[in-house]
Amino acid sequence: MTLLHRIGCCTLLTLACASAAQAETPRAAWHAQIGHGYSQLADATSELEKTAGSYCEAPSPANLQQLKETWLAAFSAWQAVRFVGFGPIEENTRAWKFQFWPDPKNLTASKVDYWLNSDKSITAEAVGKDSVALQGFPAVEYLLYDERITATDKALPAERSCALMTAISSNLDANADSLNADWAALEERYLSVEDYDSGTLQSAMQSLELIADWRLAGPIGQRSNSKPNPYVADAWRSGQSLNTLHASLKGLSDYFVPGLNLLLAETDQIALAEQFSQQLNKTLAHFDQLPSDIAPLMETEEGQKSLKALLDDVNATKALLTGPISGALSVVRGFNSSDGD
Amino acid sequence: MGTNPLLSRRQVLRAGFAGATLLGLAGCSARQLNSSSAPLQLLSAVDDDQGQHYITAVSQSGEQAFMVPVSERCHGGCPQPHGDHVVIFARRPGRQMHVINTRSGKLERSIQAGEGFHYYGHGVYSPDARYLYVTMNDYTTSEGLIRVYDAMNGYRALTDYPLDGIGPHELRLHPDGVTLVVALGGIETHPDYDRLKLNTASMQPALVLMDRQSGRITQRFEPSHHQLSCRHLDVSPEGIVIAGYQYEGPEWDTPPLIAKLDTRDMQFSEPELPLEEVMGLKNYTASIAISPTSPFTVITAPRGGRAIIINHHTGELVQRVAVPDVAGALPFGQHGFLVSSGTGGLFLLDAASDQPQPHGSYAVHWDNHLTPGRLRQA
Repeated sequence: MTLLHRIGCCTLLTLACASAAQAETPRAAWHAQIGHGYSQLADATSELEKTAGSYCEAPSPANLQQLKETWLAAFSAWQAVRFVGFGPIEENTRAWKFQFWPDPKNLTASKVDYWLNSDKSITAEAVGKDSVALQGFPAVEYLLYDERITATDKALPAERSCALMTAISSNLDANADSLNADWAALEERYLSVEDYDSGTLQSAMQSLELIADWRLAGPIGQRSNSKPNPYVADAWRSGQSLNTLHASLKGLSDYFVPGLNLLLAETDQIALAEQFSQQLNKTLAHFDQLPSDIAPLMETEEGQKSLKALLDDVNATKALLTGPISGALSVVRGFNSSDGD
Repeated sequence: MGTNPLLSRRQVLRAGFAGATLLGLAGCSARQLNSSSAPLQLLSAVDDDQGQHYITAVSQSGEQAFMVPVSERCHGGCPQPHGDHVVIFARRPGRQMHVINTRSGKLERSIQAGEGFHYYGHGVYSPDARYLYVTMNDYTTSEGLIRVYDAMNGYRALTDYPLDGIGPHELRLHPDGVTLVVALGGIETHPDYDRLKLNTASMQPALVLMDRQSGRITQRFEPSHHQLSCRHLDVSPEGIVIAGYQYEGPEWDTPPLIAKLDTRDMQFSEPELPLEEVMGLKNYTASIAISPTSPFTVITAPRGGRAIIINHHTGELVQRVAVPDVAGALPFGQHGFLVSSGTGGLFLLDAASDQPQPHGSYAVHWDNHLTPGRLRQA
């Protein structure tokens, strides 16, 4: 968890400066902070691309370790902005190109295997034109961690594995750059269109529902009538599924909460704002006592209890936002408007 | 009623009228005839508060007639002419369709799309009730198609008509009784990727006319932008088609969202609405319902929380009605509409009023489309 905490702290300090300088309205705060998150993502993917290249040029155990850390930092930067479901991320299935999820049929593995077994020329452009399951962080994770690769002659730094990992990383970086640029270009519209208040709030609500009902409840078997399914978790291959959840909750705390506080202050609901921040911080504090992954905790009763306690606090956080706060801010969440066809 | 698929609409109408007269002679008043032959006002896919999926129905008197649990979330449906069946289809990329008996209120059978295929959520019967035409995807090739089922023979699949395109969605029967009018959304989906849109950059949506007896495509019209996904439509008795788009491009664009095809002269156009009207629809339309007895068409826009009524002859905006999460729509009365909201309410709309009139409230989330309990003839 050390690495993540380090990222979290930098983010917080930078933000404190950024928000003091520019944010006067809730949407201005949100635009600046989400923009900050996107630029962190672009920096992290750029680092990933570089590290992938230098590892493949001069493979060593130390370089591989560094590559794994860079991958985790970039994937965590994505988790931090994953709550944003509107604006440029909505276009051309961009979100899925960062992370194809859920992947019940393990398409990530079959797409990567297909490329490793073919003799097609591997380029970032070719990756960008193929399935979203090939394009995201999980595909790199598969190459770095999955025994179907690491225990075979395809293990890094095998030539095609290296070429594919570099190409996927490079495509990820290009996607993060264009996302970052398109978000910046949305500024004028985002600031002038009032509906984005509700859009941003709904987006955060959906993200908390996804965290509570799927990303955590799924792997620990707390969804109604379902057995624990470790593969619904993020980053199960690398054993980082709690770290990624932490990064998503931290992203809400860093990039969503300041704008929410301003919006609640505008309507004299400061008590609700404080309540939400306290509940979110209480949820985040669980992670100090937890390992990086869900799987080992599922092996003991005590571990399962600690996961259930985390879920209870995630649920309480979700309920505050979707209940009292949503009500106080008159956010209407439609059944057909949010998931039609 | 014979099973001759070549019956003209006029013949069908005459046959229906003759049937009504016969029953009338047997001693029923017109009112009783109406309620006994149409026990259900509407059917719809719904979710409950726990997110479980059902098919439900509302009787003529407004009572909820049944709740049939289904494993996949459902979408649209169609009534069998002169018959007791209503078929409700699983939502894209679902793989089941359900035949509901409207007299018993029971699920009569569920039909599987079969390995390699999924449904899109819509279908339509032939006028003689024999054949059911259903939009489908052969997801190994992404080829959109119309599958023809024999409704008189246990819904056996008879043949597939290729559509030469991706992502067919709603289809209706033209008043000529022969032409299928098919909205081709252009969006590729695959069950492995759930509801992910796989090709938003290279979409080729269209409005397609197909001869239902031969499967031949007779006309094809394209929206003015390749990311205008043509999804839902209705046809007026004189052959005016109104189709609704969903735009897959950036949310800040304001493309046209309605298409009109006058099949009398095959003029295809995209009626222009005032800019603020277009913006209010949020680039997304859900249902289209044409009133068969008036010049009005309703278009629902749940993201915009409003329904608009246009005059489908002139293409002009007639009314704008705010209804939260409005989606399903049917013609109602002489020139009105019945619409459903995801929040649980049914409402009546009238071209003369900008206020929705409550028409019952239910503990369900009404999903996307309403299906009449029986086929309505103009």
